[in-house]
Amino acid sequence: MIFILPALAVYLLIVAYPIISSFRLSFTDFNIYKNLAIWTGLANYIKIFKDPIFWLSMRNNFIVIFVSIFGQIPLGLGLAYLLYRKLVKHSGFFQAMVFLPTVISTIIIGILWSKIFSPIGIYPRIIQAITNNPDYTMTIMNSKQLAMIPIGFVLLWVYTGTYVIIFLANLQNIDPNIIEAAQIDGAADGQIFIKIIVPQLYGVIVLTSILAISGSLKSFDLLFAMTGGGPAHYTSLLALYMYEKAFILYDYGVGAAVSTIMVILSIILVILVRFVRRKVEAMGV
Amino acid sequence: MSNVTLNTRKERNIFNKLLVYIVFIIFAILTLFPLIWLFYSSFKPQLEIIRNALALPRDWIFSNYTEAVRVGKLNIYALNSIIYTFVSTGLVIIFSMMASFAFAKIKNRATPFLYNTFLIGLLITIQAILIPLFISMTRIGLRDTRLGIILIYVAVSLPMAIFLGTEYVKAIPDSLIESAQIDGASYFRIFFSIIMPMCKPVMVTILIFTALGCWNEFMLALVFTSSDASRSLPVGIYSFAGPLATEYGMQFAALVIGMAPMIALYAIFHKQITRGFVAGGALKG
Repeated sequence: MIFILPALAVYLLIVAYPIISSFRLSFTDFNIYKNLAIWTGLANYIKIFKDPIFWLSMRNNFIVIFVSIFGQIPLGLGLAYLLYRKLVKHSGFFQAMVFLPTVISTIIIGILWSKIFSPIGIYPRIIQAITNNPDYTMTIMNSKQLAMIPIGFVLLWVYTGTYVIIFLANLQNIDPNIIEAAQIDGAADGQIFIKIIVPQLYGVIVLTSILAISGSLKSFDLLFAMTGGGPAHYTSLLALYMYEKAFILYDYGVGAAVSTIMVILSIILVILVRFVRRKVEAMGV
Repeated sequence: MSNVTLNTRKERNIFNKLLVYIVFIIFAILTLFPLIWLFYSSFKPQLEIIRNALALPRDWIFSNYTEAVRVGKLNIYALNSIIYTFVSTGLVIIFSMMASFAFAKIKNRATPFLYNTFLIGLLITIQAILIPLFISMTRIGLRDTRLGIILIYVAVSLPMAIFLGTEYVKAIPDSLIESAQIDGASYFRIFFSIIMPMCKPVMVTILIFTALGCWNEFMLALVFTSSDASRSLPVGIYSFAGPLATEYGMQFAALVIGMAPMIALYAIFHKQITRGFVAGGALKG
């Protein structure tokens, strides 16, 4: 017991207790100066559901999840397969190149890319060169409709490497004889990939999807640094929305309600992914 | 006939190879070019950055760096970050290995329940504990202190570390521990002279994970620190090089200072880092 005690003490105090406390807090109007919580029932939740910025943040969170599941994971799987088949020399170098962004602080990456897309950055110069229009000025980051596009690109840039590494490790567990046998039978590379490799990796794909969903819901640093949720909250996320409510507007009750919604949402999505997996397996693909 | 098919097959192979190379070279350029651009831009004076965003600096100036450190107080923040990273990582390794030993080898009625309590922590988003933790930390006076940040970092890192550690210790044969007990060794003795030396690989994994996480962490540090004495480097860099700043050269220098240590570490320890990511990433969620 004495071996568990230090870890348990820190954990209960800092993680377990606040979770319960956050749930309770979400039904109150809390004033930190008076240290007073007034029970308000569902008022915070109603306030949130009536707020268009909340729905905008929710939409953007789903865009982030979409980019990770239909962008990062397939791209990561494809690249991992190419590395696994050793089709290129220097695969170690290329692997490092894909993975490198993962070790850099996301906040620094966010600032860096906001500079690249800013008027002094790389992106407007490239567009100027392509369109031969030296007066082109950067508008994409100020556009309410388009600002999520560069963010999607940066999300791919940062996180694809993580999935490459995970898939590569799992590919290396596949028996190479299976692939050899298929090659002898005359199967093309593409067929081997779709018919042999992908089915073997279903479990990992589900696992990485869960990872992607919970990661996307947590996502805060990158957009906080890149856009701060702007223009006019059009690139806000649930985590940014919560931060603004609690730590800029000091509405702790509403902030706690948002975080409760985030936790519930992530539980629902994780269950959903497991359910889809069972359906896919039942179809016998 | 067979010769012809062989030839077309060879040609197709070469073509495929070329295609794969092009894909990877594009990825390498996408990763490297922004970083290289950032690096050489950090040696440019302000005017050159605005006029010729893509050009190499005409004369390389180093003053951006000295100024960034002086104005942005990056030396103070870097010291804080170093303290956070070293102390938190050290504590996480000791606490998690002790708990892992108990969870894996000293079974009693409470251990499975406590182990699951920690595992739930793997699924929890930090946002779920942020607000109540902020309130209680403010109340007990730990907000904006180094101790407060270290405690939080230790607590949020423990679930993953304990999970990895316990799974690893489970694989150590019971007979080793039993024979030591027959020889009269106490649990403490067994822990320090048998378990710890055998767990070096998993300790390296935990070390990499925790250290990277603490060094790059942003949101918690942003919320829980406000004075120079406790701010971490990512928060310092954000407030110095964030969206409102216009001293581009100095900002670029600050970003380079922030990412250089991680890139250097990755260059040296890339094998261990990728292995750590596989172990941790594949098991998250």
